[in-house]
Amino acid sequence: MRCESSIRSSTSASLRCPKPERAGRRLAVAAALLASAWTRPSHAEAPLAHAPRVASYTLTAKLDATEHRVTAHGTIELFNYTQVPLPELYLHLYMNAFKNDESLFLRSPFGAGRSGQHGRKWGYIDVKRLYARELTSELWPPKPGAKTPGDANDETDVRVPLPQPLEAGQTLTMEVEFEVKLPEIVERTGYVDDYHFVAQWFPKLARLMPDGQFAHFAFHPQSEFAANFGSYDVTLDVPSRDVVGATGQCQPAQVAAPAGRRALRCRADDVHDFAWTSWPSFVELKARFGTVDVRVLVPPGHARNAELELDTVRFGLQSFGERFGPYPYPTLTVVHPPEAAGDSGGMEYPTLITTGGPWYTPYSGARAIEAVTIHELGHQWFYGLFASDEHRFPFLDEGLNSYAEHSSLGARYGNGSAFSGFGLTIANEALSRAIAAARGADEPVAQGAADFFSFRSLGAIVYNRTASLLSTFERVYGKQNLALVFSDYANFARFRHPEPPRLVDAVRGRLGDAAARNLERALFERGSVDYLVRDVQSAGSDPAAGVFDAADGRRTVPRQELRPPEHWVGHAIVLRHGTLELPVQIELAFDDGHRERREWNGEGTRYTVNCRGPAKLIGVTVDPEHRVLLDDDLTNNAAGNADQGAPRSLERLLYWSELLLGGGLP
Amino acid sequence: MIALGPGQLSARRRPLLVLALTGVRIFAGFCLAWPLGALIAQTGVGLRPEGDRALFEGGGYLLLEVLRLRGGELEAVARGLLPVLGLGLLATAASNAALLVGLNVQGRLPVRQLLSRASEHLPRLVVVGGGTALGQFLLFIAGTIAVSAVPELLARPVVTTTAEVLLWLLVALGAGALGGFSDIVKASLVRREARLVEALSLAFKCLRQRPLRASFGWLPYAAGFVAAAVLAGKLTELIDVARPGAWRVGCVFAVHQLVVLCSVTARATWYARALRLVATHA
Repeated sequence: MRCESSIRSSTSASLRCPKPERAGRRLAVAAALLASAWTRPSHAEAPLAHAPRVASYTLTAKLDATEHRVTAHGTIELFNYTQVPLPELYLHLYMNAFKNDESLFLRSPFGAGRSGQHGRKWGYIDVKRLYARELTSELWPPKPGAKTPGDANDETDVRVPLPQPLEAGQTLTMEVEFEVKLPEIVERTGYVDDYHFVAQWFPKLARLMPDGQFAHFAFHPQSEFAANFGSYDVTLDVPSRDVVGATGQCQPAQVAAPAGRRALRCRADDVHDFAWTSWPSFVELKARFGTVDVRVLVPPGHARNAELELDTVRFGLQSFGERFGPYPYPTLTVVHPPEAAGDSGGMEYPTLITTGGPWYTPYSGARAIEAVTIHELGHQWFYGLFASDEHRFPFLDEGLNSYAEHSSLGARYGNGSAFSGFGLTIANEALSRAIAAARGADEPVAQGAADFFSFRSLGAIVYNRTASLLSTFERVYGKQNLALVFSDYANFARFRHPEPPRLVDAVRGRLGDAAARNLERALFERGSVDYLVRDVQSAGSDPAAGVFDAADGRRTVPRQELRPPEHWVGHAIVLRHGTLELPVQIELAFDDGHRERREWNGEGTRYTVNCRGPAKLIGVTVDPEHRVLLDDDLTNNAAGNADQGAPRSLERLLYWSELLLGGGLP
Repeated sequence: MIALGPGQLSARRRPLLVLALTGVRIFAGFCLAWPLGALIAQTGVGLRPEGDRALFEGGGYLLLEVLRLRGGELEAVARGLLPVLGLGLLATAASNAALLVGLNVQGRLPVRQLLSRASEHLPRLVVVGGGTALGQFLLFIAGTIAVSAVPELLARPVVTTTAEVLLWLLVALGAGALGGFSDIVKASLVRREARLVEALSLAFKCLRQRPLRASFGWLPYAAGFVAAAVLAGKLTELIDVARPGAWRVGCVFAVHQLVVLCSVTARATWYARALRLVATHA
């Protein structure tokens, strides 16, 4: 129905009408998408079962493993789910980020990208043909040129004008041919020797927003991506000896491959990107967890890493599934790149994640393998299923995912979630908190990736400050309550491209206005907090001594100086600096060993501690359980009326000094 | 002073000297540790009701915070302590010289006489120590160059790592052998009242006759010390100073000082053996 009316209203009757069944589903999904984008949900909203198919790709790609080139052709389909006609579209040609030193990605003199590497061999994409089938029109080369709008030196974001608008509800099919020259591994894509990791490799439609605009941007070194959901059907032609890992389910393709080659057909629905790897030396480990077939591809000698990654995935699929909704895809591929290609590690793609690290990492005491695996797996939700705009709001994927990572590792490994050894345990939350606090509230959390001063700043604020903020909420407002917040958020976010207000709404719905206000301040207003204790005092409180006149005569009460007071009064001030008003506990320590807890809701800037009793107040600690991880300075959270020195530290330093002196002489 | 015969050379003859040298080590260590400990106390942990126990609590929240906020100051103080470290190492070198002298002679040994004899030998012992350090440093540089030349085999990472580890092991063996040889030279200097060149010649003679013992004779004693240190680590984990109780600090202190005593004893035992080697073979 909708299709017919849209054709009537179209200026071009030649635009393709989708098959009724397919069109019905698409329109229903589009309606749901539009409705959810423009209305605010109550705090319980049903998740979508499937994603709207807006941008779909059918490609055949041939890898020349000697020349490190990918030659590809196929079709790209764009479904205009909006209510406005589209006069143009935008294609991202991300591989051109590595074309020359003038690209936005490479031209910064302060290092390139997250890896800080420039790459030693150039990479680029040449689009040979782009033909709009329904419009019977060649779209390539676009006019005025295949350059990023407003940046003549960059070729990663190209505007393609359409000869006639694509009407609402219609689909445009574009035949495409292109060739990619892969760079030597840089920023998660490229090759080293015969290892290939092929990501951001095809002309990719910028994300079509509900208002008919495209969320397009040049490939910035600090930024990741944004795209619409769709279906991917990709046939890969690779050397026959290569082991391939790819997005989706792969099976031998029903085509005759020449000698020394083989073809695989990989298909995935409800995804928004496609990446693949091809290397003859991969060792494969397989398992099935519930309905998910998991493959782990590792270099030879990485058996222990593979076991750890598989075990972490098993744990993560269950843990994240319970918290953020079930993993809906039938496959998951974990790729552990060889060390020399480490820059292709630590990245997420739909149904495919990359990890990394030397083969001996598990024996070092650090939980690096578990951390990278659980982090990238978490991205299957915070990026994959939720598909927030990583360019505009990187905290929605990296920040929320870092929180998910830390809380999961914390639940599994306790205080030693980051490191455990030499009698020392370091928690991920503690490490993340320290990194976040080092940058304080330099910049707002909720801003675009390209707006951060540097990737170091983005790392501290997006990854660590967001994670510390949410860990603080978990500890302050209750783990179960925050779990409900995330359940609501995840239900809404699945396949719906959420934006920050959705998270604030979820918090308001479950934790109340005060918590939502704190969240907004922390995200948008550089909100911060520092609790500190001042002026701990304690004094004896015996009955007053002296000469007292009363109706029945004069009475003298002697001062009893030689005996300890029977009662004590204690006094201390707890202050809150900053704009976040977080409830906090205050612990009073007395000289008879007992302790008392008080609660402060965090409102106002000062809490006065007054106490009276048989024991002397010797110290006050605010937030003794480290619930407020956003606290700017933990060293001022306690004070006492006696300096106890640091005997334990002195003892340990003495021992180390003695060992140094003994072993320092040849 | 009369030199002991080869069969009489033993660390057990000088328990008081071993204890005294342990005392010197404790004092020198204390000189290094005190400023850093005082700075840590000033970070606010000294005023906490639980004291610096909080630095050892699970998760490392306060430890990381102190390092984040005061790491720069701690580093500056540590740099400022480098001259103290130098003095401490010199004191240790003097102690080692006194140890060699004390182990070599028989009978009661007045402190003044011991120190006088040790100070006579000290300059040459320091030269030997400095030369050994230089040699070990050059070995380290050679190792770094060799390891960087190991090709990174994409599909055989274990082979690459094994080759690198083997190279470092070779460097460590070389450095260890040099250290062992250096101790034989020192023993020759003291035992034979020799000049430097003569002592080197004597040590080479030992090396030719007993190559393993002259190069790696120290290894069993070092292994014993390492075992003691590991055991102490396990014990201190069990005692756990993060829990309340001043007695825990006392226990950990005692355990650690026993390790230091063990270290000095191991060195004394090896020196006695080195003197015996020189007395017998050189």
